[in-house]
Amino acid sequence: MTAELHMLTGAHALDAVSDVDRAEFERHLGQCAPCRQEVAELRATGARLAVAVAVDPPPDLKPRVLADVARTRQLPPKVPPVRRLGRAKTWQLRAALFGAAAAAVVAVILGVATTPAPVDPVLGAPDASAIQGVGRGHATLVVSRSRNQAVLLASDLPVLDADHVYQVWLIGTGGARSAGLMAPEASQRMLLAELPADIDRIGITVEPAGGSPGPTTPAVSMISLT
Amino acid sequence: MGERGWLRLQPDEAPALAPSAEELLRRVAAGDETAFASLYDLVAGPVLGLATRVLRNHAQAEEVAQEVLVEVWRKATRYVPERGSALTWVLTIAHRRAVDRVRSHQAVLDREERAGRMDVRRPFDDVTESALAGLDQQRVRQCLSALTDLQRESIVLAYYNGYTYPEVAAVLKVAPGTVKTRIRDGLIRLRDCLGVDR
Repeated sequence: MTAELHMLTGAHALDAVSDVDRAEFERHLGQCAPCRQEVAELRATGARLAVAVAVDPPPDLKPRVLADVARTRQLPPKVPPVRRLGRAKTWQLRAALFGAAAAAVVAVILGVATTPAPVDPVLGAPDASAIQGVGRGHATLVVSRSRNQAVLLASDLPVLDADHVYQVWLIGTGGARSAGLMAPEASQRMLLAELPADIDRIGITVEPAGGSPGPTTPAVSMISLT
Repeated sequence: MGERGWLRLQPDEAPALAPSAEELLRRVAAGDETAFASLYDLVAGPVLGLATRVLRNHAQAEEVAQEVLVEVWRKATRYVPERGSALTWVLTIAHRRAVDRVRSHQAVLDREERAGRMDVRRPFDDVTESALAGLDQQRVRQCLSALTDLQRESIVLAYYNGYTYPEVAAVLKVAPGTVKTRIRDGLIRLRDCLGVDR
């Protein structure tokens, strides 16, 4: 499985993968330093293909870009744009963490632990903040803007039959893109490797087994980042 | 740069006395608009060329290039030098944006039409190349021609046309797994031929 995933480095470096494949592979990248190295090198190789087709930009492009830049606010490097934790929120976060830890223990005991995602650095990040979802079950998103990562903690979602899965979506100005499928266990946590800045909501929908390229049903839970 | 660094050919780098793209990006992250104007001069040509190649439409390509360059300004604080060069970072953003645009629903028809008039064997013939492109193009062309036909066609369709590897497989009438593998081993050969380290 890992060897096969590793073959995806080239296609991933050239963006030649579906959103579902990308999300899955990026989770793999989080645990595979040689893969990150190879992707970096192959991306740099791809960049040479771009330089080879460089054109002279029309003279009016630069003033247009500079005018846009003059009225565009830059992303801050560390300070998270989401709410800071108050005491109540800290308590909620602790409760969520406890739940997640308990779920992890259950998963290990039952022998269903799949790939261990490196979620702890996110949950322990100094700027971690928790946001509750609206909808069925309990969905909590713990966001670390400094790490540009988030962990989705879900529990008590209705149990699905074998032909359906829960799929997680990053929703922003560009529409919804898949962040991957959730494992079928009732309680789980899932690392969202990258949280692009334009994303303002995270949605969970029920999709046919294997997932869909885009959401096909109303969200069972929605988490608003703003 | 290491002691033998000056011996290496690094076409990605700016002339010796001008600040590097990495240095400019560091200043841009601190809100320096003048540094951004200089960075624009280094990267706008490849960004627009790539967008034009992927989208095959000058108006859309300029729109995407403008969005990408503003995104570079907006996200400059997120650039991590250890992960690669500034130019690679910018062009990664550019490729992703261009690809997202061609994969959006309204572009599907355009794209089918584009597929009808592409020629993967002659990827460089129809562009007005800049001086920067000229420097790199000959080498890239040489290295591409050293690949097998399947490696070269897979990489060209994926990168310049924005196809996913299963789409490339459908065009070339081979198994998706084969294309996935050929993209990877072709890129590795290309990397070694071009002497790319990051």
